[in-house]
Amino acid sequence: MSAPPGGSDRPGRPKMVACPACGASLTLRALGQSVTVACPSCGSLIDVTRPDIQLIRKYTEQTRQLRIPLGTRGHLRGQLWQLIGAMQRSAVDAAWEEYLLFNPYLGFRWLVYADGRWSLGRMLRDTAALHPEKGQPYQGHLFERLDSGTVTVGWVVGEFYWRVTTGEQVLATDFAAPPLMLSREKSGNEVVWTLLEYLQPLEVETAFRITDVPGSIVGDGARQTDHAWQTLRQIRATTFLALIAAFLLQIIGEIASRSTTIDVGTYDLQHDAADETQIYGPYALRPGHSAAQLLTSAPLDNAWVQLQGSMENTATGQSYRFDDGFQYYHGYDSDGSWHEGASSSSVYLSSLPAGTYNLVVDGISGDQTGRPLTCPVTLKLQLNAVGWRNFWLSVIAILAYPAYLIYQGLRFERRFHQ
Amino acid sequence: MNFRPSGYVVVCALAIVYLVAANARGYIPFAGSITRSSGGAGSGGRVFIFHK
Repeated sequence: MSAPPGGSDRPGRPKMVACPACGASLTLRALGQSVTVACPSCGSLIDVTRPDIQLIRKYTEQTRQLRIPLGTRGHLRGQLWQLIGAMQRSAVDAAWEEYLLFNPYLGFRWLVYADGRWSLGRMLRDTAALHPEKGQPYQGHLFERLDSGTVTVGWVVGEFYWRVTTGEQVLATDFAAPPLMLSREKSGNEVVWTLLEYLQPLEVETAFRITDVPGSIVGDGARQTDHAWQTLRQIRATTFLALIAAFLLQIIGEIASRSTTIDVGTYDLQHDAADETQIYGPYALRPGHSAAQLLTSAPLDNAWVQLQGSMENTATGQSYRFDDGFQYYHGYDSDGSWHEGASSSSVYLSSLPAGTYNLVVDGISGDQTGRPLTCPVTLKLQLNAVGWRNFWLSVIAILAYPAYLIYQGLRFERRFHQ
Repeated sequence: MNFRPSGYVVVCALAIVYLVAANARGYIPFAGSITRSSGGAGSGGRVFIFHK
């Protein structure tokens, strides 16, 4: 959306000229303001600034199938507009169409069709106070940076107020404050700002009396609109594949670890100070590093157990300590029966080096009166444990961006419908 | 947080590499207050302090 030449407010009269490539009749609707015209018959690009109407480039592609035919007139937002040009532009991950509207008294407007949604754009002339990237509001709206990238012209049809060509590139940055959007396009030293406003599809279809618009949003399609939904659709296959891969690798890791669970024995809670520490083992861990998980349980009845201990390497003396505890209380009150806690627990020991280890356990317990329990604590030791914590961390990393996009999309939808 | 789909592919790849490497090394995140010290295997001299 380059800047039009000055004096766009002057009325103009249509003029008929012949295409120098195919001879088809061309109607110049913005005479005196249009610089180039792409012939709707053969697609050739024509320079209309010269009296002799010169051919700039002859296209071999067929005339594009436009959503709104060239020359269509329609009342949009209370003003009469005529569609005089159309082009397709694309970025790395999206393509859209821009239709140039002309009113000899009002100048030019852009009707943009992107991913099922229409928006009406007006080039801003006074941009001195326009700094959305610095968080400054514009017309009372706070715009957020949406996306940035190189935009390339794919094809053009009709007439334009600048010498647009296929392959022309600008650096575009979009800022959104639904239902408004600011688009900044930079080409060389020229910077052009366009203020766009979302339009309901029916508004456009009624204005230009078009039906059966390919890809037009209806009903549930309204969700397929904003940038967030578009990006979400683009990455959903990647997300799905990554989740499947993570799950399969987790299962393979579980199988390959060949983890074994050993009945260690029991820890007697009814002890005196002389024999409170109990030692179990030895247990051999596989080469490399591996995890171990201590599983503890006891028949608690309104009581608690606290265990502390370590895995101690019999050769090096290195100690890997752990803390574990659990409690189980239950009762009955005016709301009925209640219970809290559990009578079992587990604790992981991470990245234990290979070697032979003794399991050293010490513990205390108490019931409601504070006396030690008489029941034993059953101990099991799972060697080469894998666990699912790494899997869930990976899932969180994989789903973080899609979750953010969903949040953004819902936020845009909510603000759009307000 | 607007990165392109190719950037998201890198994030997914890193998440999977982390999963494989962590599981292979027996790393368990948030595994509790595990400290490493040098001492005798099953020897005395430990001091256990419990708070309840």
